[in-house]
Amino acid sequence: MTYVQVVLNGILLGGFYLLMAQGLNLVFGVMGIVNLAHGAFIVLGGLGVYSLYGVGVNPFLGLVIVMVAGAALGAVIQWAVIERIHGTARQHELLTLMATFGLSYILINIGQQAWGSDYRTIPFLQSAVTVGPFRFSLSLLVGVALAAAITLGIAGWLTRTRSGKSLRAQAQSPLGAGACGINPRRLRLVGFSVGAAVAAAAGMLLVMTQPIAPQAATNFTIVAFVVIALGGLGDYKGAALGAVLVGVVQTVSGYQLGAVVQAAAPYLMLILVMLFRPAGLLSRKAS
Amino acid sequence: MIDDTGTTAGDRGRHRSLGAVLARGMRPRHTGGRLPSARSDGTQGLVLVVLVAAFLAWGLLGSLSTNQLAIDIAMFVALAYGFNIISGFTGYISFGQVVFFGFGAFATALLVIHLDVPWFLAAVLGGLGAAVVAVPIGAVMLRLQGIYFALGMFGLAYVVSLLLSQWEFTGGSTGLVVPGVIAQKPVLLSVTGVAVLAFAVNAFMARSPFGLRAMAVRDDEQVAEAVGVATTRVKVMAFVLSALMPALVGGMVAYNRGFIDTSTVFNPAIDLQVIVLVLAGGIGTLWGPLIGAVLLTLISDQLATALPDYQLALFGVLIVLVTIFLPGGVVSLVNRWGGLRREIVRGTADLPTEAELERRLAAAHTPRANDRADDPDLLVCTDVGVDFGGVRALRSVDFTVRRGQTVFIIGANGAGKTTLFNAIAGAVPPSKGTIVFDGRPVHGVPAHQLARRGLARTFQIPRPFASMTVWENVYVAALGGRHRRQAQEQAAWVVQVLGLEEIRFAASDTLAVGHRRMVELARALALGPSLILLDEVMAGMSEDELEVVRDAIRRMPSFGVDAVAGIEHVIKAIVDLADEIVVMDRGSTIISGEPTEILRHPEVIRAYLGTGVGLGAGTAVAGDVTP
Repeated sequence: MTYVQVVLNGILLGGFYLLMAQGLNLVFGVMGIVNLAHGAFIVLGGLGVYSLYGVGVNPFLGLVIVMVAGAALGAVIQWAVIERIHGTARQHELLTLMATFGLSYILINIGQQAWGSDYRTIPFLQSAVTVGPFRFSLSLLVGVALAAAITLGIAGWLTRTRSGKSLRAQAQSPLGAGACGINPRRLRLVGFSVGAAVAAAAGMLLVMTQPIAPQAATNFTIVAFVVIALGGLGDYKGAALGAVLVGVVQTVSGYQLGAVVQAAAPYLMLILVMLFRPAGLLSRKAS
Repeated sequence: MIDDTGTTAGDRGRHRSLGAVLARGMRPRHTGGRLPSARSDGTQGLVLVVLVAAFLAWGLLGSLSTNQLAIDIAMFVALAYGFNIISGFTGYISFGQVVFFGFGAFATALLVIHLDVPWFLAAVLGGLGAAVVAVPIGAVMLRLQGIYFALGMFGLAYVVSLLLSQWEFTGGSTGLVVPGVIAQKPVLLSVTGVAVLAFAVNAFMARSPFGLRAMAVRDDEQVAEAVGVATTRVKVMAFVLSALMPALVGGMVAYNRGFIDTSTVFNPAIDLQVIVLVLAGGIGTLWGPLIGAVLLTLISDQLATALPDYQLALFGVLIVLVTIFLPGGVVSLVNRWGGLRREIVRGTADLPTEAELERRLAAAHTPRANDRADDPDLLVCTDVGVDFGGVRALRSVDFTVRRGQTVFIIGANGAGKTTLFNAIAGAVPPSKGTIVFDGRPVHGVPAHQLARRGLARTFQIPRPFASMTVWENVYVAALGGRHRRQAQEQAAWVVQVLGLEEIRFAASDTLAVGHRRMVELARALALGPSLILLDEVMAGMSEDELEVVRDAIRRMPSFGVDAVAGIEHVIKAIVDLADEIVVMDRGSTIISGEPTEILRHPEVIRAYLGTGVGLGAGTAVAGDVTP
């Protein structure tokens, strides 16, 4: 029974991971950029909610505030940095990696100066809920519900609205999208900014359930990357499978083999999956 | 993915922001300069000796803190050059080379503590150990591409660090005390030695056949494989060299510091700093890492004393600024005045005459094994099918090329012509059927081995190695399995036959389409193949260029090319060349035969011209058919 409980917790954790990965996936889908500063957005969002909670702001209101702030920060970064990087396709890939790598250190350093290097969490929705024979913490359940709501919201936006469809068009063929009168520059701005806002939201959910600190940002980037790499970069449905898998593997390995293996698990999964299914778990085996 | 970002990058170039204007002015010139460099090795060597002597005089004669700063500078120079080998010249960006730094540090510490090995010897042993360990790691990790390799290495360093921090033998989370006396001057000398060694390896990379092969991998790995470069071996060798440097330095630094733990020697910030140094100086260049490492280590030393809390953020700002304003590094600035370009590989300054080369090549030409030469069929494809997911690109193709034959395949777009070539050259695995080349099946044989066995191909869209000159492109292909001197003669011959003498030192990414196709053909010919697969080499060529290519195809048999198979749309250019024309349609071969006979065939006329056109003489029809 404990074992089933562990697996269920892993699945719920996967819901969190999915939200963490959403923004990264969106940015990759629209711009072909792996944003290595993604984890920093998550951490800053979480710590923002932490500070707001400290001055008496309800975390749900805090969520809205950090999402807006994250969107603004993302827009500024896209406008001031990413948009200004030029070069051939290959150079561009390398240079954006480097630039976002650099950005992550700037944001982590700023975070450390503002909040210090201590791990922080907020005691919110701490009670436990009993469902049949299983017990879950309320914060985890609420977090997963929120993650699901945001994920569905993004999916709805991408499939139903004009701007969402343009974004998918841009992701699939920038040239074709341009020919259809879609302004690629504005779309990139929207994509990056929404990606940052979603990352900040994921930070809020994280800080409710576990302690976070600025220096953990790189870990979150890696976990988010592993999730989307498992599903196939840019594949929205694959990411859901990847998220649940990482969540379950992490909780189960942590339960059975201890904290070290738990920390190492995402990295090992990344290396193994990339070696054997380089196009993602759901990819059909072709050429 | 590359295509997508390529277009977006292009879109961005049009926006007129300050950054765009600056970046355009500073866009890195390709390292293959347009003119041969006039600098001599003697001068460069002298510059290096003077630099090292001045550096050591400053470092050794100064105060203790100067000693320490000098060690830091030498360390980062060595690390930067180590990184440049795999990430600059070979194109595999790694975010985890620090794993070898830590390996060297722990190996040295453990050897000193448990076996009482002298520190210098221990560091060398640690370095060699890392080089050995790098072979299997490289063989596995280098199968990953781009971001996956970068983050995979990052993950590897993280996992190793995590495991060592749990192991009592390596000091666990408390670390290890390395016994010894404070010996900064010997350490400075040895770290400088490693830096010079690392520089030497980079200098070797910039001009040797090995370096050219590595750059070919960087520019286009699939094409490198197709021109006979054993890509995996080249990558692993580069990886081993770039693991050696940080491991040597790590060992020396461990002794210098007297105390190590996992969080300091596996610190990803070391990698970050190295990447910044190399990027700021100029990645993939010979002098960039040196300039970047010296300049930025001095700057960061000042920053550390002035603003200790913001050191990381300031480094982050530096990276961002470099990527926006100076994407080619300091070296690209100097290069605008021709200062520090890569010295291109030139071969002989004056090309020998064609006749002389042909005489020499004929003398060196070893006849192929006679046992198979009797077999008239060079290439036999039987019932070949290729599926892409659910799409059937090839249904069932039977295709034979006999020795001495020139065969051309024609057919509409999407008929499966290029797919057939891909299957023959080992780039696409067939889902059914067999392909036998020169008596042996091609199934499961790596493309570079097929190329060396005598199967050459050109690509439909020309893919020259962008950072190399025309000569280097041809020379890399000629090197496949040949002695260097012989390869030069082979390349020189090809360059003359195809009339590329004038542009042989031009950067290949600046060429016009016709010239690009010519380079494509030149590489294939330089392999000295027995069968050459030409994928639309004549498309988009001028009349003059067409004549040069047709002439080259006619002369191929006299220089070891046993057979030619081509895909072509320019029908008037092939009627008199072809011994046989094969028509493909929707994944199958429909008819084959003599050119005149094929072009008179009602089925072909229908497919090419639609029905209702008079069935005139074959040659007349052929003359008109130039879609």
